[in-house]
Amino acid sequence: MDNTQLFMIATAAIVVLTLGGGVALALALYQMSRVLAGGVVARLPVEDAPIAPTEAMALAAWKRERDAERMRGAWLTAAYRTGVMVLLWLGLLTAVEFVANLMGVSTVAMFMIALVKAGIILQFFMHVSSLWLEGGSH
Amino acid sequence: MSAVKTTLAEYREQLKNNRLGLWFFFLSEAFLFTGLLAARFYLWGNTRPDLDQGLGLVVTVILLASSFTMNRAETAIVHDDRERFLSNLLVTAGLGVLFLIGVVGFEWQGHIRPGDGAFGAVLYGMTGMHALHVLSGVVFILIIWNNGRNGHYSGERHWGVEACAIYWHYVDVVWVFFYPAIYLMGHVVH
Repeated sequence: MDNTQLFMIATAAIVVLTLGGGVALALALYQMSRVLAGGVVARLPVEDAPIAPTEAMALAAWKRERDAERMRGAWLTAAYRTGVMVLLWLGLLTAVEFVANLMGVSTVAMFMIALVKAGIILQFFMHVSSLWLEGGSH
Repeated sequence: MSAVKTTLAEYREQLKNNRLGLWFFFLSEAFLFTGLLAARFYLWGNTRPDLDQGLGLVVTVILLASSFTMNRAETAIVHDDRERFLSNLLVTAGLGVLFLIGVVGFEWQGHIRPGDGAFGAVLYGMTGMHALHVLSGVVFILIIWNNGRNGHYSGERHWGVEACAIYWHYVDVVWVFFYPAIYLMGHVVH
């Protein structure tokens, strides 16, 4: 393995690690913001004084709204997490492709890797399997 | 926005037709890009020109990252998070511009010229046609961004965003095949 090849591998590693590091940092910040937001919700006054019927109804409505909000947050988190996982897999497969080229892997194998990458994008970003589902949005 | 107000049910029915039309468009585009790939394998065979491998990898990573941010933008508008939707659209457009700079500003300034036989013709044909699609995608994104800034789109009605996102991912899928075909497959011929 000559210096050029080593340089290429190092460049690939740096790009992949930088990307991975950026994603990990973004995830950590996102989780931190969620924890902080959760803390604010937890500090809301809930059971201080005897509750009159109207207050009880208001409290129940507030709890329903809070639960719905949490559920929406959970869906959103899951959707963003899927995006991050897809990006990590695409980065990993690109790195594999790059190193496979240095190792002299066949054209067919390269093409198979490309097919897998395309399949991942089609399924998770282009939602090809849910194109004709009822309900409008993906 | 259309002057005619439609119910949500009508909108969803229309959405199916819109999606069908978009995917037929992609099918027709696939013939174009497959033709270019076929030309590459016919004319280059098991060889390839000596290109900057680092640059190829960097622009590929940039395009993959732009698909990620586009997906975030679409997810955000589905959940009515307009601020994140707009910011992710801008990042996506920025990454698209970076990709164009990488290909047109650097790769095209290399030692291979369009008139350098099969290598030049295929390289410029493939990267040029793809870059044209990236450019149109960036314009599309900026239009969507401007519409979004003016209050268009919601969690229930955002066909424009969906079409733009799918188009952008399609351009990414094309590059997923072009990148190994141009930069990785075959033996280098100096």
